[in-house]
Amino acid sequence: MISVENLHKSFGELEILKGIDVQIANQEVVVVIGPSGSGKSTFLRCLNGLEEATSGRIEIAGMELTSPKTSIHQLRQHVGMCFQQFNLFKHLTIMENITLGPIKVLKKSKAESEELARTLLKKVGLQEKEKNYPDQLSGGQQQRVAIARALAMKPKVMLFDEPTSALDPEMVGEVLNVMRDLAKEGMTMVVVTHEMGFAREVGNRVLFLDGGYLVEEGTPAEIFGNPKEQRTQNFLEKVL
Amino acid sequence: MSPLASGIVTKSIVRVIIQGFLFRGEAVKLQVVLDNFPQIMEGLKLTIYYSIAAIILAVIFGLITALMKLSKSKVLRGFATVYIEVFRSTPLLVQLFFIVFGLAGVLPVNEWFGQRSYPIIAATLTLALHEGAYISEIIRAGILGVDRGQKEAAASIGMTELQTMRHVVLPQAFKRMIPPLVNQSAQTIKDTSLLAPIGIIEMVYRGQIIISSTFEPFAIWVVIGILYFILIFSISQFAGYLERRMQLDQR
Repeated sequence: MISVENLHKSFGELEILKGIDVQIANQEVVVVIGPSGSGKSTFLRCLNGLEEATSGRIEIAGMELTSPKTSIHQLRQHVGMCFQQFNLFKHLTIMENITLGPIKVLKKSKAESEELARTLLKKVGLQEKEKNYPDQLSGGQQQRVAIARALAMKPKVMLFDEPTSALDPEMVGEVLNVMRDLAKEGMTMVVVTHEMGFAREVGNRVLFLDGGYLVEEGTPAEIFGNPKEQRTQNFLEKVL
Repeated sequence: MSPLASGIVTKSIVRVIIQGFLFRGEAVKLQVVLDNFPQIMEGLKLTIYYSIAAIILAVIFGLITALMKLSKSKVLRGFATVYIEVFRSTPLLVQLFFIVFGLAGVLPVNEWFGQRSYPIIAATLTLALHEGAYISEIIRAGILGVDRGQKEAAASIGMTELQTMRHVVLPQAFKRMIPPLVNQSAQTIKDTSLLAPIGIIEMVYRGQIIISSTFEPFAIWVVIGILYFILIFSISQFAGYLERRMQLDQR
């Protein structure tokens, strides 16, 4: 589903990603962990072109992102993304937030899009909020709407960029539950997170990034139970 | 200003008003104003028409220029910058004289647009271009004020840059642009008075015509001043009201 080869990313002089190679299979849930500044968010943002790779090759859902011939807008229709700060459209109701993409990008009818939106809102447990504005919702609720907004595009892959880092502790669970359900349904997911419990329970594979390198990867049991690299051990000692 | 000097100034102003209205016979003055009031109102109507036309065009010019200035193309940015700087760094009156009379001296514009309509079209466009230069900066600041995350979210659901601008950025930017835009509209109304020196009939020009036959500059200018004040003051109040409401909205 996702193939990344020798991905480099620099901001000016500063090299953030120093050659990453990853293969992600269909329906796999991959959790990316690492200290701050390790490049994990940049890595994720490269996967839907929010950051342009400096060099290397990225292929997602059969489309080569790094090829100049690929339409980035078309590719993004298949790659959903949730942000740390939710980024719901502030001037639109919850319903309009979810239907904007289907109506404007996929050119679906309003009725069809709203029906889809209601199904998705029900799925994330917010069917009664469709007429509200984002400001009227709690952080956890906003993040669940953001997930519904991404799902409305029927993506093949979902990317999560620290989806629970901006939330109050009591709201983390509700968002993780939605993500857990999504994983069970067979969605291919790449999740950057500090929630080690989630990584262990839901992840099929854990990637440990540090200093722009993919230092270690393996099943959650391998990474958390028996990390091989010194840097992985140091990191896990600090966070667990 | 020293208290003595300001006292003298205040006294002389009061004296002028009293002389104007009382000692030289207020009934006569009032009659002159009443007789000519329909004509003044006719002028006011034209002032409002020119203002509305100029404001609508200025917002369109401003939006196009702001988008050019924010574009990736160096050429478009260059054109936008030259336009803004030229119109902001020269007086509106000079711009009006240049485009209405200067151009007419070297190009057969009067034949193209008609002897009588060219000055009106040209003056309205010049006013709109002048205000548009300021409005483009208001719009540009509004667009830049929208959180980057909003654009990224729109991009992440596959929207093109144009769709993002149209459906996500501009609606949010517009909300914060309303108060400064209303202010600029008040400025535009005042600036229509500069159409009088180039011979376009609006309220000031009407006033000058009336004065030339009645010889009552004091009363007429007072009335015209009051009419401008009512028009612009109510718009400024409206801007203030909007600003307070937006602050409430954004909690």
